[in-house]
This record gives sequence, C-alpha cells and structure tokens, in this order.
Amino acid sequence: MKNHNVREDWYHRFLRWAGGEEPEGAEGPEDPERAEFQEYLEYIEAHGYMEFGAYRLMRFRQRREKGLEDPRGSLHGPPAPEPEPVHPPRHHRPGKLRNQILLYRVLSAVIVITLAAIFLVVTMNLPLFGRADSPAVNEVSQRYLEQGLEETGAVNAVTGMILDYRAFDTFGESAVLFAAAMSTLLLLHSPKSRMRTFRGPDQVLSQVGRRVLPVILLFGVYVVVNGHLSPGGGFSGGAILGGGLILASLVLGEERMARMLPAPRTSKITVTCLLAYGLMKGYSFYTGANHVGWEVPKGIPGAILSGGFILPLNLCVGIIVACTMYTFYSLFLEGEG
Amino acid sequence: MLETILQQRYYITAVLLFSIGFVTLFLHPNLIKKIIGLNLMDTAVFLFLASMGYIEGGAAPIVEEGAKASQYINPVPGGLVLTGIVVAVSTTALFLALTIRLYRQYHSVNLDVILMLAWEGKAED
Repeated sequence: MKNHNVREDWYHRFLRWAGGEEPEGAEGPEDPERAEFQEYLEYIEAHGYMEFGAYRLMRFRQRREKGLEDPRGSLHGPPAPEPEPVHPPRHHRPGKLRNQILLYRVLSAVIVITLAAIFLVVTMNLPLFGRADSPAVNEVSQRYLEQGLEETGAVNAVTGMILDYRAFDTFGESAVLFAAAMSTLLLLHSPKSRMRTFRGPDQVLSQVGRRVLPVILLFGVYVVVNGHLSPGGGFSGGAILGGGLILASLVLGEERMARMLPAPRTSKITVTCLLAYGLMKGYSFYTGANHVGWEVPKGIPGAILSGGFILPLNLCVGIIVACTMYTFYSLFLEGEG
Repeated sequence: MLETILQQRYYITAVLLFSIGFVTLFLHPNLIKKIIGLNLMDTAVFLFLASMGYIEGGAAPIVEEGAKASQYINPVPGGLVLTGIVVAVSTTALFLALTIRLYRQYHSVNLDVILMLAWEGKAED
C-alpha cells in the first residue's frame, strides 16, 4: 500500500501528513485515481447511480477474484483491463461483521428506548416548570443577583457571572475554541491547495451584501462592547462579527479576505487575545485573593466604562470567537476544493 | 397527569429531541447525519437547562440597584448554556473536519461503506 522503501522517521511523515499530502497513491504523471474516477463516471452513466466507495469495493472484489494483480495494490493501483459489468451484491458483508452490526443496531435501539423511558419518568417527577421554589433557585443565584452589581459592577448579571465569578471557566471555553480551530487547521489545511478563483457572486447578493455588511459589523461591535450593560456579550457579539466576516468573504471575494486576514494572522490575533485574557484575569485574581488593594475601579454601574476588567475581557472573547468562526469557514471552503 | 404533562412540556420536548438525536447518532449510517444528531442532542440539553432557569413572571437578569432576586429569572443556567454552545460548535467543527479526511480516504461518507472498505483492507493482512 505504501511506497516507502526507505522508512522515513515518523516526524517527517507526520509533517507531510499534516501538510495535507495523502500517504499513498496519486503520484506519477498520470493520476490513477483520476482515471478510476473517469471509469466510475462512465459506469454510472451506463448502469445507474451508485456510490463511489461501493464502486471501488466492487471493482476491488472483481479484480481479486480474477487474480489479475496483487489485490493489496489494486485498491489504489491502475484500473484492471475490462471487468464484467456485474451488479455488486448489495447487502453482502463478511458474516462476522454483519452479525456485529446487527447486534449493534438492536442494542442501540434498546438503550435509546430505555433511556427515553427513564428520562420521561424522571421528567414527570421534576419540580414543576416555572416555579420559584424549585431547588435550582438557591442561594447561589440569589447572591449573583443581589450582590453581583456591587461586587462586579456589571448590570448584566450573566456577564458579571461568566466574566467575574466564573472567569476561568470562560477562559477554558476560549481555549477550547482555539484548540478546535487549531485541530481543524491541522486536519484540513494544505499549503499546496491554491485559492479557488473567485467567481463573482450574484449581482443582487453582491449589492445587498455590500450595503448590509457595515451594519452587521457595527451591530456586532455594539453587542460586544455593551456586554455588561445589555443582553449580549463576547460570545454572541463575536458570533455576529464572525458572520459578518463570512459575509465579507462571500461578497468581496475570498482572495481579498485572504490578503486581509490570512490564517497565520488570525491565529496570532487569537493567541494574543487569549494571553491578554489570562494576564488580566490572573492580575485580578491575584490582587483580589491577597488583598493587595490595587483593584481596578468598578466605575458607576450602567456607564460604558464600568465593571473593571469586564469590558476588555468581553472584547478579547469577542475577537477570539469572530476569528475562530472565520477560520472554520475559510478552512472548510479550502477543504471543498 | 395531563396537567403535569402540559406543565412540563419543555422538559418532555427536550427528552424527545434528545432521543431523536440519539437514535440518529447511533443508527444512521451517514456521518454528516450522525453529526446533525449529535447537535440535536446538544440542543435538547440547552433547552432543558434554559427551561430549568425560568421562573414565572421573572425578568431578564439585567439588574437594578437594590432589587430583590425574586424579580429575575435564574442567571446560572444561562451561563451554563453559553459554555455548552461554545463546546458544541467546537466539537461540530472538529467532527466535520475528520469527516472530510475520511471522505478523502474512502470517497464516501457512509459509515457502512467505510467499514466495509476498512474490513477488506484488514482481511488481506
């Protein structure tokens, strides 16, 4: 399968793999995969549609039965001369695997029905919906609501909760987003895949998009900056900003956006924001826990510059979310080509 | 009984959504639809948490000075749902990227076909 006569060390193989290079096949001047795909297209023209994977499996079995070539290489090798156009056995699987799949289906149906029944019984015995005396309304939420304003300075209790009391939780969330973006980058990014040439969008889409785009971006900035005063905050505003960036990429063209925001730059911005978040929150936890007294002034509740570090923290989170959304979009667009 | 069902309708909807998502995740052979099922399960959990935090007649937790806690809904599930949404988006993106890699290798997103191809490759060893 693999044409490694000389064993490479794992690090270079990993690098080539991370670079998007397929470990086998697709080498040489004529591309055997492309030739096979051409044959597949001709086959479905003649015999009706079937999936490419099933087609390859059928061809592989035919070749192995004929013993025309080494079956190990034939899955990716050049196509065999002329197979008899036999329809594949549709539901044939090796017996052991078929039994396992049947067992799996029955077991999962049983598990799902049992779980749903248990959940429904539990639901009927839960505290009634909307009651103020349910055990979920306890001293924790009471403290957040009654003393959150003077302890955090944020009018929006949810923002005060997630960016002050539970700020390290939010830091972990931002780190999860960054980790997901980086793993997607590792899985999908290949340096040799060229940017697709931009086909101009529909005239109506382009004109409307250009006019709506500044409003969307401005609204995103508003939601981020007002996170401690009104519903919203870094996550929701960042999602709006990310949507605006995706719209910009659709309307202005991917090449222009790739010049403005290439993947290394978005990664650098995200890392900078994560570091800034960690520094700010580490500072306030350190000074607060040790009673040093250099606390950031809270300001007047309701003013835009209030709530201590909450406004810059919201900005950091918003930028991280927007960059991550845009990175996902551009990577999946690249993987499409 | 009927009154309880009507009162707990959000929780029951959440349970039904969760079951639908679970069945899709387990039984559908298409990988993309498995991911959609996982997202349905996420949504069911968010619905459950958000309806847990609702208090009848409560306002959104944009607090004023000197207000009592009983005027507002519970803000804690809101923060939990926020965390959940972010993790759901991240895992969805990761799963989709893995699906693209699988498709490049096997030219199919049908898990049965992928299993068969992988099985054929293993049987030769």
